[in-house]
Order: sequence, then C-alpha cells, then structure tokens
Amino acid sequence: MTGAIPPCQVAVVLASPADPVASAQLLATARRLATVAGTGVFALVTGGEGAPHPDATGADAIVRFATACDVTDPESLLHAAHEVVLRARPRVLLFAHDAAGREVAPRLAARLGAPVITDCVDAHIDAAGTLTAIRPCFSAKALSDWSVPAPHLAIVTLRRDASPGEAASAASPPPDGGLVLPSAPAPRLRVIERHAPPPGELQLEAAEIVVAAGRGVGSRQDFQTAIANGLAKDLGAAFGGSRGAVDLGIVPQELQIGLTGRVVSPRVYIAVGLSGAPQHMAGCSGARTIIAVNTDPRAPIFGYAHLGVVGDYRAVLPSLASELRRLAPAR
Amino acid sequence: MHIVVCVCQVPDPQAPAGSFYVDEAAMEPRWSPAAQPLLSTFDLHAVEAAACLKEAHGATVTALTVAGPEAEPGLRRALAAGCDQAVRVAPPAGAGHDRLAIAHSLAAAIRTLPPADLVLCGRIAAGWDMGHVPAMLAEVLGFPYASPVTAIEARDDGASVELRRLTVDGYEVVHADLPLVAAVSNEINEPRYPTMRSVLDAQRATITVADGAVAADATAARLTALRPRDLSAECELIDGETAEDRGMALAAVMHERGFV
Amino acid sequence: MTIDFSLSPEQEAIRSLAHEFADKEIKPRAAELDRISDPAAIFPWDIYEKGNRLGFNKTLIPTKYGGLGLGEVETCLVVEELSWADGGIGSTYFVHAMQLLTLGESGTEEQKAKWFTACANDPEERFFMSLPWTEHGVAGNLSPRDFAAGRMDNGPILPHEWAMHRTVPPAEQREMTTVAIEDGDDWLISGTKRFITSAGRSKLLLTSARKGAESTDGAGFGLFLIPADAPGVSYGHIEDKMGQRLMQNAEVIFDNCRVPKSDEFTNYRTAPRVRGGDVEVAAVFNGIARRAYEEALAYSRIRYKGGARIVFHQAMQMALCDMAIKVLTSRMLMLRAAWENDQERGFNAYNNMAKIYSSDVAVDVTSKAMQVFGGYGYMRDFPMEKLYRDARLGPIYHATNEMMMVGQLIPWLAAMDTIY
Ligand SMILES: Cc1cc2nc3c(=O)[nH]c(=O)nc-3n(C[C@H](O)[C@H](O)[C@H](O)COP(=O)(O)OP(=O)(O)OC[C@H]3O[C@@H](n4cnc5c(N)ncnc54)[C@H](O)[C@@H]3O)c2cc1C
Ligand SMILES: Cc1cc2nc3c(=O)[nH]c(=O)nc-3n(C[C@H](O)[C@H](O)[C@H](O)COP(=O)(O)OP(=O)(O)OC[C@H]3O[C@@H](n4cnc5c(N)ncnc54)[C@H](O)[C@@H]3O)c2cc1C
Repeated sequence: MTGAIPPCQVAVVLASPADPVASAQLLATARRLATVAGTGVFALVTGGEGAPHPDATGADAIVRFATACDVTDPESLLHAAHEVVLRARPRVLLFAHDAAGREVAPRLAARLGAPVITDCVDAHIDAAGTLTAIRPCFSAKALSDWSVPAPHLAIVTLRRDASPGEAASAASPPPDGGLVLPSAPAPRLRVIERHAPPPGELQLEAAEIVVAAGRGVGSRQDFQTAIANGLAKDLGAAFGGSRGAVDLGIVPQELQIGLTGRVVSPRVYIAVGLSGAPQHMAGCSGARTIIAVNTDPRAPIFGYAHLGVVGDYRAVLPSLASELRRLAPAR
Repeated sequence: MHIVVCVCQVPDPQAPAGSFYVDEAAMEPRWSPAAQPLLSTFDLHAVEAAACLKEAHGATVTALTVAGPEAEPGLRRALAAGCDQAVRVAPPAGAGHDRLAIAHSLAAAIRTLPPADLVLCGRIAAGWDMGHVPAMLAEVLGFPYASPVTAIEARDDGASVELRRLTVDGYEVVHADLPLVAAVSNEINEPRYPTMRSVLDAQRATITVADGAVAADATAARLTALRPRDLSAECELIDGETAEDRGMALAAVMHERGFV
Repeated sequence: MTIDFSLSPEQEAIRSLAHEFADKEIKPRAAELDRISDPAAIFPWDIYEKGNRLGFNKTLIPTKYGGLGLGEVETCLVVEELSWADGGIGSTYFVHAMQLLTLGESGTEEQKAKWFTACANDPEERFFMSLPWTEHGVAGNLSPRDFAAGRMDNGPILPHEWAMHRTVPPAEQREMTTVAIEDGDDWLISGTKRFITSAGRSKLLLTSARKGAESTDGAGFGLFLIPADAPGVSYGHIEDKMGQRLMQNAEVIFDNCRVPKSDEFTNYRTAPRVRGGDVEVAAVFNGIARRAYEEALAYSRIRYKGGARIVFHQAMQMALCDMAIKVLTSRMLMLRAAWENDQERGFNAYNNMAKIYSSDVAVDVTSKAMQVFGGYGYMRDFPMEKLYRDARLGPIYHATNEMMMVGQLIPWLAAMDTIY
C-alpha cells in the first residue's frame, strides 16, 4: 500500500526529540538536496497517531506509525526506516549521526543492499543527480567524497554540526502524508535497566565554551576542584574529557569527546592536561579557538592549539580563573 | 559456546599525526615513516572479552578476518591473546571500500564454522573510521545486534547474555538471547598481554585459509576524492616567569580577544 | 646464500611484545620512579612481576625445565626493548640472564633441575639471580700477567674462551676477602660483596669466595649457589646511584653462611668462571641509545629556532646522522655476537666488542641527544638527563671497558692476524 508520498523524495529520520537542533539541521540539508533534485522532503516521526511533531517543521509531509515507536530502541527505528524505504521509495534517506543513526544506517544498508555514507559533514546533488557526501576520516586528518549515482537510494548520516548556518524556513508543522506504518515487531533485545545521570550539566554540543580534561588532570577530585567547580563554573562552560580522562574515572564516559565520543564545535575549547591524540582532535577540530594547557611543550596538542600555556594546570588554572574574575567581575 | 571474533589490522592509530599524508591521485592514505600494522584496538578488547567468557564458562573461540596474508600477524596476536583457532578469508575481488561485501564474506565464513553463539567485533576500526561492518554483519546473519557494548556476562542457561550498551547519556543493561552480534567498546576490559609462550605458540600455529569471499556489490558508494585536512594551527605560546604568571597572562589575552 | 639480517616472525613477535610492555608499563612510570630519593624505595616489584609473568626472566631456561628455551638473540631483543623504556630495569634482566647462562654452562644436572625449575615456576614471579662477586679489592678479570703466565690453575688459557667468561685471576685472589672454610660436608662462607645488582630482591646468589683462610694462588677459589634468604646472609648499604635507579644495588654480607658442598659449582673447565653476558649488557645500552636518538629526532622536528625547525639546521642533521649510524652499528655488532653464541660457533670476543662499543655509543649518543635539546636537555622535566645518567654506567660496570679490553679483547686480538 503506497500513501500520498511521491517517490524520489528526500526522507529524513528525525533525531531524538531531545535534540531538536539536530533535526532542524537534517531538514535544512534535506531541503537543499531536494531543491536541486526538484523534489520534496518528508520526515518520519516516531510519535503515534495524533502526537504533536514540532521537530518536523520544514518538511513537506510526515509519515508516522500506527502506534508510537520506541525511539530508544534501534531495532524499532530500523524497522520503521525499512518500511519507509519500501513504501515511499525515497532517493536519499538522512539520519542524524547519533547513537541510533550510527547503528541503524549500516544495518538498513545491509538489509536493502543499498549504499551508505556515515558521519558526513556535507552532502550535495549535482545536475546529473549524483549524490556526493563528504565525511572526515583518519581521525579528521582527511576528508573523503563518496558518491552514489541516480537513481539509487543513498543512506546518509549527518554529523550534528554539519551545517550550523542552515535553519528551516517553513513555519507551520507539515501535513500528514497519509502513510501509516505498521507497528514495529517486539524488540529482540530486552532492556532491563537504564542509567542516565541527571541532565543538569550543560549540553556539550550546545556550549559556547568547553573545558576538556585529559589524563594529566590526575584525579576526579582535582578535576572537581580545578575544572567543574573552578574554571568551567566561572566561565559558564560545559566540560568533557579525553579517553585518557574517562579511563581514569576523571569524567564519566558519556562526556568523552572524540572519534568514539561526542563531537563539539564551540567558540572556545580549553584542553587541560590532554596530549591531543588525533582520535581526540576528531571530536573538537570544529572549535574556533583551541587553548591548551600542558606541562610538556612537545605534546601534540600544541600543534592544534591557537593559544598555549606550558605548565602544570594546577598552577595555571587557579591564577587564570582568579584573573578572569578580576577582569570581568560581572561573572 | 562458540564465539567468533571478527578482527582486522589497521595502521598504528598512535602513529604521530605528522607522519600522515594523502596520495590524492591514488586516493590512498600514506604514512612516512610507515605506520606499523596492528590489530585494531577495539578488536583487542573483543578478543579479551571472548577470552574472559571462555575462562568463566568454557568456550571455543575463533578469530576471523577477511584480508590478505599481510593480516596474519594480527590473527597470531589474537591467537596469543586467547583465541583457539584462526581463519582468514581472502578479500573479495574489487571490494575496495565496500563494507557490505566484507560483511557478506564474514557471514559466509561463519556459516562454514560450527554454529556461532556469539559474534564479537570491535566497535570501529581506526582509519576510514566507518564502523559499519559489525552492524551489517548482524543484518546479514539475521542476528540481533548490540553496540557499543561495555560489559557482557553469559547467563547460566548458556543461551543468553546480559550486557551493557552505551547510550547518548549513560548506559543500558540489556538481556539478549543468543546468537548475537556485539560490537565492543574499550571500557569493557583491559586486554592482558599475551605471554611470551603464547606468542611463540601462536607463531607456530596454523592459520586456516578459507575461501568464501562474496563478490562486491557495484552499487556501493564510490570513493571519488580523498584530500588532506590540515588541522594544525600556529600556536601562540603565552610567556611568563612562572606557571601562575602564564595563567594570568592567558586570562588577559582571553579577555582582550573577547573569549569570555 | 645464508646471510640474512631479518628477524624471524617469532623474534619479531617477541620484540614487539617486549616493546609494547616497555611502552605501556615502564615508560610512563620510569621518570617518576627515578626521582624517588630513597634508593630502598624504588624497586618496582609490580612491573617486574608483570614482566616475569610474560616470561622475560625465563628466555634462557631450557623448555625441559619449564622455560622458553630461547637463545641470546631473543634475550637481547627483550632486554633492548625494556631498556628503551628504562635502563635500570634492563640491567636487572641482563644480570639475571648472565647467571642463567652460567648455570646452564657450569651447573650440574641437579643444580640445573633445581634452580631452573624454581625460576620457571616461581608462583610469586619474583625470581631473579644475583652475582655477588665484586669486592673492594676484586672486580675480576684476567690481567695481562695471567696471559703472560700462559695458564690458569687447571689448564691452558685459551683467549677466545676467556673472552666469554669472568674469573678471578690468581693475582687478585689474594685480595679476595670473602672466604669459604671447609666444615665437614659444608662450606662456611664469610665476607662482604659490594654493588651487587638485585641484592636484597633476588632469590638466588651465585657467589665467589676464596677457599681456605690463607691465599693459595688459584687453587682455592670457588663459586657457590646460595639461596638469598639462607641463614648467615644479610644485606647492607643500598647504593644511591647516579642513574639506572630502578635496579637495586646493595652490599651482600655473609657471616658463617653454611653451604652444602653439593651447591658448589664444579662443572667448569680450567677455573671457576661465570659467563660474560656481554651481549645482554650491550642490549641495555643499545636500548638507551636508540631511545635517545628517537627523542632527539622528535624534538628536532618540533623545536623552532633560528628561522626554522632545528632539524633543518645542518649541524643538527649531522649530529642526528652520527647518532643513527652508531645506534645501528652497535645493534648489528650485538646481534652478530649473540648469533655467534646461539650458533655455538665457539667462544669469541665479539661479545666484548659489543659491550665496549655499545656502552661508549650510549654515552656519546645520549650526550649528543642532550645537545640537540639545548637547555631543556639539562632539565629534569625532559627525558634526556635521565638517559644520559643511565647511559653513563655502561663503560663502568660489568667490567670497566678498560679492564675488558686489557683482560679479554686484547689477548684475543693478539692471538689472531685479522678480524672478520
Ligand atoms: C580507534 C580509537 C578511537 C579513539 N577514540 C577516542 C576518543 O573518542 N576520544 C579520545 O579522547 N581518545 C580516543 N582514543 C584514544 C586516544 O588515542 C588517546 O589515547 C587519548 O585521547 C589520550 O588521552 P589523554 O590525552 O588524556 O592522555 P595522554 O595522552 O596520556 O596525555 C596526558 C597529557 O597530560 C599532560 N599532563 C600531565 N600532567 C599534567 C599537569 N599537571 N598539567 C598539565 N598537563 C599535564 C601530559 O604532558 C600529557 O600530554 C581513541 C583511540 C583509538 C585507537
Ligand atoms: C651499578 C653497578 C652494578 C654492579 N653490579 C654488580 C654485580 O651485580 N655483581 C658484581 O659482582 N659486581 C657488580 N658491580 C661491580 C662492577 O663490576 C665493578 O664496579 C667494575 O667491574 C669496576 O670495578 P671497581 O669498581 O673495583 O673499579 P676499579 O677496578 O677500582 O677501577 C678503577 C679504574 O681503574 C681501571 N682499571 C682497573 N683495573 C685495570 C687494569 N687491569 N688495567 C687497566 N685499567 C684498570 C678501571 O678501568 C677504572 O677506570 C656493579 C657496579 C655498579 C656500578
């Protein structure tokens, strides 16, 4: 049964409702692709019949489930995306490169035998209809272009900060495209417990200033004193860490920044006691200014940083924080 | 229980960033001096996870790779670290960057082995940084999939496992019936060093070379360009007699340039 | 076509395991341990236990006793990698390896079965051997006088054989103050040894002592295997060293220590002797020199001075070339000597050459590397000054380079018309 959605459109699997900015960026990229290709954009929403879908603003139409889909279960999302492809035959299917997208996109590609390009920072379509997506590789030390000629479906996941300038233009939520997907089968994995720390901490991706701790910070306690309750608090900055810091329990795993952690692009990134391994830099190379504090003048981080202080952070940070307080007492 | 660990070799991910360059005409990465090929970091964790399950519950562990003979040192490392046997499948002709062809080839090889209860992979291999193979393999085999896994415990029934997988903001404890494909993350364990004896034994072991490679699919996304990205910056070092002085000087610069 | 400079896959796998261990377990901690001021508080048992569990102290033990049955080439590869991260740790393993070689060569079947097995199966993984040999008046090598005399106590001196061994020459035996007095089926040993590597940490001592209270040229010198915790053994002053601080050196004091006659080493030719272990010493200094070269090269690539990174200044390039040549030739000499030993092609003095050359090279290369670092090289925040301190031991211990030339290398060279 096919609904009212014409084929060859650009389909968007919206990001988690907790991250509307990511969804907006997906829709903006989708719109750009669709305009070149002369088609439209529709979005898959996960709420059931009648649920509001503010995140889909900017799409021409939506498709939805008969009953709400569990967005935390990648298998349900996979099922939904698969149904969308079978029934609506989009040309491009966009996911956010978040935990769900990382898993679902390649699985869907395998299920369909379709090409997949993940973690892209940009995508475009040329006059001949060839889609080209650009993704960093080799720990962000290189960029690669991947293309899929028309009329093949291309599955693409987009990095969150891929097109920070773009924003949706349409104002009102899009109409229902009339395609209602059957509910997902029962998940094969059974979640017994969920652990998530209270969200109180500033969202890393949205922060203007990020202070990142490395193994050199030494201990959770030192981190709390010098960074969490020190510099980061004074600056109103979010904080995260390298894998070295996560390994030592200095920061929790979910705040790891890098290739296998989160990707941030703040205005100012302050790297404290971290060496600047390529896999870490892959997560912060979008920062406008990088400031490094490290005891070792040969640490690779000084090769990426715009400003550097050679020295023990235990001495540098307190004097930095108190001088900043003196210079800008309003904070 | 039969555990299959899918492994691959990557150029040393800790090779200094400055040694990396791109051959744009060939669309190939290069390192000078050459980066040593090593068993992918997360695969080492997968091997260790298999070895722990074997110690706790008894299991046979097979290390499997789809690669040329240059990948045999990696397989021997897996043998030294606790795998019982190693199988290498020659890569499908013309596979290029087609990860789905790799997944199909792995699946074909797995089907020729005694039935696999658990297939372990590393969550991502440093390099092209795709991480597609484990998820694709699960689909091709029709197994459920969990990733990134940071703990795994076999249940007494021998037919299911309890595992932890990372979520955006924490983790979940998940119950899964076997068979299953799990892609592990580094938090799962601290890989032990193989002993010299196990290293020697692994050097003397025979690696099974199987065919089973499944031809690549022409519709895979095609690499059309690879170019270097220079992330390096000219670092302005803050001067000052003591570390405290340098901290104060940094504050002044940050203030002056409107960073705060 | 037999010449082949490549390592076998086994050797390469062993080398890379040792390197990985050195890089991850030793390198990050070496500087901090080196800085501990109390020499009694440094010895990092946890690192040593971990290394022994992997087999680093068992390379030379034959498989029939539970060891790895490897040769000196493999042992050198391990010691070089460990020393790349810390020379002191490398030295602990070299001294131990030297005693395993001696036990293998001169031990009786019972002695080998007992002690090789104890080392291979030590549940604590703390089995190291020490060689309490040096005293104030005795360090121990043949002197030209002994060669002039043409013979040791039990037979003719063959220079190439003595090039591989250490003994106490008759002239020096008079100076030896550690004595063994016969008492029924036992020896009673008393005396003090100095500078002994691993003393107070090792489990087995291979001790030299003059037999009988009176000096009797040659006839009365013996070697004894003594458990480190035997009654009558105690440990004195722990040396506070300039470098190589992660090994421990201390006085060993014997006070009427009772040793059964079955624990004396009797299975030797011409005179009681220990194997040189010179290539294992060379491995220590090749590791240190290579590390210094790597550090200097890396620093020269990032240090910007005089309008360019210093690696582009010709003076620095020449220094780096010189270092590279020395590091490589020194390792080749070591491997040649170790290979000769493993092939059992006869005793040779390539061993002495390797020890002498590698230790001089390490002093030279660490000094040049420090120069590349400029002022930073002299500071304790940087690895150079430690490498330099660690290297400086080379020409001094084991036998000073001068003593080794005079007592071992020169007689060997004198007996030959050329060298190949
Ligand atoms: C496939 C793969 C994926 C990876 N993914 C990630 C990832 O997502 N994120 C990530 O971060 N890493 C990742 N890594 C690991 C990465 O390679 C590095 O090992 C890691 O980033 C190192 O962390 P670090 O810089 O904190 O520690 P180190 O490299 O140990 O650096 C510590 C630094 O602290 C300095 N220091 C010490 N004491 C002080 C002091 N008192 N004051 C100031 N400075 C001090 C030292 O000089 C040193 O430079 C990955 C690795 C691989 C192979
Ligand atoms: C860190 C360290 C670890 C050691 N570990 C051990 C150990 O485990 N077991 C052990 O038994 N000993 C050990 N020693 C002792 C070491 O072998 C001796 O220190 C070394 O052989 C030099 O002897 P010496 O100190 O008596 O110097 P001396 O013999 O007093 O030498 C002084 C100088 O005279 C020169 N000289 C001496 N004899 C001659 C000669 N015949 N011809 C020309 N020149 C000569 C020397 O080259 C040197 O320059 C260790 C020493 C150190 C420093």
